[in-house]
Amino acid sequence: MIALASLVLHAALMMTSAPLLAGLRALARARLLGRAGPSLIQPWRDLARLVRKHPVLPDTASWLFTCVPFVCLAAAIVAALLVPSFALGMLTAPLSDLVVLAGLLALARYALALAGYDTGTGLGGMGATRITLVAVWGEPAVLLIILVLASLAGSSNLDAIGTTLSEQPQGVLWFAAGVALAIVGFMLTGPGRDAAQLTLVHEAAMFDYSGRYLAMVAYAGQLGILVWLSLLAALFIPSGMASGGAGLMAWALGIVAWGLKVGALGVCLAVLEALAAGPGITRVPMVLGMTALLMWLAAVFVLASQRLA
Amino acid sequence: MTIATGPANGPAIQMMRAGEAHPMRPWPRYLLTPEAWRAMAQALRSDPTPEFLGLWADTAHVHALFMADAPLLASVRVEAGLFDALSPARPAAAGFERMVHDLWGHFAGGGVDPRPLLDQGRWPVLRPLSARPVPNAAPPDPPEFLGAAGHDLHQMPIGPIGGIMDPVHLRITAAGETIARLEAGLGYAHRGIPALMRGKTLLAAAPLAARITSDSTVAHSVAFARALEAAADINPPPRGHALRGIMMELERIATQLGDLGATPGFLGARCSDLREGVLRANHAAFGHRLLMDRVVPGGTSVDLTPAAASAIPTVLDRVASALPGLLRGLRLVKAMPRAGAGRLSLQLADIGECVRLLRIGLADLPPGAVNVAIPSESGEGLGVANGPRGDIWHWLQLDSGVVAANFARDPAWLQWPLAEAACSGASLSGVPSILRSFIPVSSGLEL
Amino acid sequence: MATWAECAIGTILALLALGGGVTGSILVLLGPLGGLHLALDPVSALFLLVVCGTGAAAALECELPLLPVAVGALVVTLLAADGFILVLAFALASIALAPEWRGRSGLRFMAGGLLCLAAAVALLAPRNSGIDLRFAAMRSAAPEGLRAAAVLLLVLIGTGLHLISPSRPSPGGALLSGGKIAVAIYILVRVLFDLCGPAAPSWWGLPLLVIGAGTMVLAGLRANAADDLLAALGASRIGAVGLIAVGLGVAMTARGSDLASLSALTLAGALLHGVSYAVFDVLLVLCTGAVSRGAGSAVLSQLGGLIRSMPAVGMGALVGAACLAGLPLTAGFPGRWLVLQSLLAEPHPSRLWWHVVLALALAAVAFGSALQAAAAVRLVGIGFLGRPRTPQAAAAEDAPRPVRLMIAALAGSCMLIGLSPSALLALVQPALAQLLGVRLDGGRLLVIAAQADAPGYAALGIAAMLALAGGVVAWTLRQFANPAASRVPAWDGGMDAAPVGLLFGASATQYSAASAGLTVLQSFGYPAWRSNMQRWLKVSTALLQRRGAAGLGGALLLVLLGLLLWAVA
Repeated sequence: MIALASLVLHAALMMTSAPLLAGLRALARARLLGRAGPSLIQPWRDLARLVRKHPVLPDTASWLFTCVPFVCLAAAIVAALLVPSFALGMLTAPLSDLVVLAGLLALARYALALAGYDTGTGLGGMGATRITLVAVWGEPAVLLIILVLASLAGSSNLDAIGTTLSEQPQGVLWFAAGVALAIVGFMLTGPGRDAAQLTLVHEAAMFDYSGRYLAMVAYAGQLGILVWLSLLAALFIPSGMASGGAGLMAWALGIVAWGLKVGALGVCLAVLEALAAGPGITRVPMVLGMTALLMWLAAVFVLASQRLA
Repeated sequence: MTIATGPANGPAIQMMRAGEAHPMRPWPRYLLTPEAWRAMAQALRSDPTPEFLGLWADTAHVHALFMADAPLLASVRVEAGLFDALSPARPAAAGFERMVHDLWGHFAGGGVDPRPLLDQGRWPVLRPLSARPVPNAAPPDPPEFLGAAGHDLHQMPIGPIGGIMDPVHLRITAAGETIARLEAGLGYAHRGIPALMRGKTLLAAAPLAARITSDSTVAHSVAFARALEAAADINPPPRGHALRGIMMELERIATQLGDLGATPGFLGARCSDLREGVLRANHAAFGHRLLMDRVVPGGTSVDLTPAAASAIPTVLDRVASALPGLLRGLRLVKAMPRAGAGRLSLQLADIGECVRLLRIGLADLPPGAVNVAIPSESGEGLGVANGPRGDIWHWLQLDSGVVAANFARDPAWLQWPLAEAACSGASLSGVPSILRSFIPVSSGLEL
Repeated sequence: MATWAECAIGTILALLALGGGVTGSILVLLGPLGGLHLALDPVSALFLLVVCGTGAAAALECELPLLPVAVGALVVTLLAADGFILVLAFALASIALAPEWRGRSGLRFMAGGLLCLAAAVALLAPRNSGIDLRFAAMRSAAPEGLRAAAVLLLVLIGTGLHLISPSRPSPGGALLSGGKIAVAIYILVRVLFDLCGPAAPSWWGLPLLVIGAGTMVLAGLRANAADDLLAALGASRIGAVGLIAVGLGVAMTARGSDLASLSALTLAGALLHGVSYAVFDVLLVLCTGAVSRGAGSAVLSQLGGLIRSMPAVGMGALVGAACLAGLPLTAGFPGRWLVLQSLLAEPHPSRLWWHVVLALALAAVAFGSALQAAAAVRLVGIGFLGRPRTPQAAAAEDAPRPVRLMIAALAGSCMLIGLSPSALLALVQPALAQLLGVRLDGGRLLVIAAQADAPGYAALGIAAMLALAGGVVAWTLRQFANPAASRVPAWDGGMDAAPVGLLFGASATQYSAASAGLTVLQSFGYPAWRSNMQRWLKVSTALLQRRGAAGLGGALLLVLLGLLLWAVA
């Protein structure tokens, strides 16, 4: 019962705060660049506006094009339900395998890539190919991070890793894995920037969506970033998180702590976006490959030190 | 301004100077016979000295502007709608030849590229500047692109709406992320400025010249005014002359900062902020943020306001103190391809030089009137100004105070082919920063 | 017809063996070399299912005259209970498939491979009482030391040559080569896990692991470079073999280190992946066959938009490609998940080299899978989505009814496997029990997991959540969204739509197959390694083709060496 209640509360939190996080990022970035910036709830207003609009679809696209937003959004929602926010031991805890979580996010990504190809335009195909390019380099890095985490915690289940972590603090490798996850997430989610058409990745693949379909895809993207930041918060800054059977007071504390952590990470993301133009798509493989290599070394070290000891 | 090096009396130059000299000011124009023109076009193939600057026409002639030790304008009478192309010898002439055919209907025989440049088939008339324009009712043909040979390449259409910078259609032929050829489809910003100017009085024509390209408006106005002053054989007063210099430097600073402002992130935001300061100082000192219509034939239309004494030095100090920080910020922008980043640091150095020149110019401003009246005379003149993006040339024929024929050559004419060439072999995501480093403004080209 | 009958009989036998536990000798003919024996046990039953499935599909696609002989010989290879029949039947199958070989190099690959296998079998036979090639006799006298190493080398070369032997690029050939690959893997499993006995040293897994990991990455790159559907599928098939080899290698080493549960986990993953891969591979090859008949070509740069002109085939290809990409809830996921779990799980053999290799293998598996996924997305995205690139693709007709039914059935089984991998795991369990003596204790009704009590992969739970989320989204949109939608030409930046008479004139503005592959390949330094690769290929082809005799001689030398070892040891 408690597990169900925490799941419902968690779902409500994630669903409402994903666009708010996007709003916070836009606001922080605008302030850093010396502008007033949009309101915090502007993304919610945009979603509502898009949902009410009359969508147009490219006449070259097949039925798949209208299915993809549902797949993307459903996969992002399930991923959001699997990642703990303020408390461990939710109803979905036994399902939250990290490999499955990575697979769900990959499902959303590849579905969007197919939609890009389905428009039959050069831009859509370019975006789709870039999505697969980033995935080819990003997913191995993700798996190596999972290997390090799973070796440290003895399981690839997210809840089990979280529980292990709250019981015993971890060392420098844990920190390295956190940094690696931050980098890889930044590359894979590809937060939207005000960029020219030719430098886009995900936005190029979803270029021909409009109306409610665009709202769904955009919302899925916002959820994806929230999932990534919550994962970082849950695994690497676990302080304040309520344990499995904790009471309401611990929940309240957990919610406040989660909000602060995710908000701070979102502001960090905005600073990063404002500081640099972001690496061009030609450099993404190199960055991800380096991350994967570092994680591989970390994995060898973890395996050697833990399993040989 | 570009200065040619090497001997100034190669065979092609001698052939041009052998033509019949027309009294154009400040340099004479040489009218060649079609045979002499053909020989000159042949000689150009083996003679690299005269640097090609531009090519345009009037209803009966085609004019080619070269740079030897001095600007050299050679003309040829068009016979049966044909003249001999220069593009086999000077590739940069290809775009001009296409434009001459679109506007005046003179066809370049033996040219490398017969496709239209500005006319996309949607104008109500064909050849609008020719002696007898033809009404056009046919539906437009789809644009033709050269593409590139290769196995299973793909083409990417970008723009004209929501494209990278200007209303330009970019057609990119690429293998994966590597560009095989980038082609610009132009003509979307065509306003018909030569046609509008024709038959206008001097004071009515000047605002049109000022509106060719908004971020080089002062330079275009100055080049136009110089051409006109040359044709009428007068000189602006010293104070007007000095004020023009100040406006041109201010415009240069604002334009360079605007270009840098397109860089994403902190650097761009800071530059946009500084540019805003310069524009406000412009408004305080001259009454217009972009300094449009402040330069008129005969001098300038306004003198400095009393507020200028504090506004301009203040903003110059701000810009000068921000420059070292911007240079550091530029080194941070590692994500940019090297060509683009190098160009940006050159632009920053340029801003520093502008600030120095402005301080000197403001320190000893000559007293007196800012303009003189222009008599309504006939004549022909060529004027040049050093704009923020390169040299701007204006050519004018006056018929008792009314513009009879004119052409404005913006640096974009030479930058578009360069930008296209620089993009081949680059990566797709590098295109915005390559274009940003050339800044081929299409409105300057499309007139 | 004969082929279908054979396949039906084989399938019934296999299901009987796996379901009811009916195993044992089928036929015994006494004679020289210890007699001729056919027997059925869970391992051969499992592979029998795969081979009969591929064989039946091949009968639909292929008009090879000796097809019944080939499929029959493959079935007999699986049923063989002595080394003589094993090699003989495999040789017969290879000869019957001769029209599918490409050039003479196919013959050399096959001959060399068979020679090595024969030598391995000869080395395995115990020497005490004449030459006894019965499996039972071999099990009782497991090879040791140098002899064991020679067996490993010969089996690896023998099966490897069969795996990479080129076949004619036709759908039927692809299916038959799939069947042959299954039998080659069967021989590998049979010899290394069964006939060599449980006492194999732990380093035995190492070569398999390294070869498998390398194969996965190279095959993934190859799949992205391929410009027709069949070549891409062929490369992906080799990639799947790589993953299975990695699984077998880990299982082998774990067994050598007395870690039975880890061994069971990995072997279960490898076998599960093999069986489910066979299902969606057949599905994709059938779709490719339908495409090359319907649209006149299977070359990616001549396809496009097929999902509208061939809805059934397009749907099948979409399901198959999702499996190929290894996405959760598809048939391609559970096997890979189990193998990954085995790399992450505790306890492991405690040797430093093992952990270095293991981490390397994980990285290779990860890169290989991601490349496979990219290839799958490209396959569907370029071939089936977007605009047609040729008039033939625009006018393509859907497959005939029997093929459509077969595609639907296969796509359905893919979804079933994806949603309840435990059911398929139940088919694998008897084979595990036979080979390792233990079952995977994490195979529960709705969940598969590494250990009995650990949280694992609950496909149905995830699927239910996805359906629920999709339903909630759909309901919310019904309440609030504008229900209208209209179709317009795709936005092309304000350029005009292509003129009416020019149906395919603007198709160059669509992303191309070569570009989609190049983008991925270039990030791996493609132009640089292409030249090296070509040089290497030239050298190796010269060795194989012009020096074919030298290759055969080398294989013979290996055999002689083996026999010498056998005699001395």
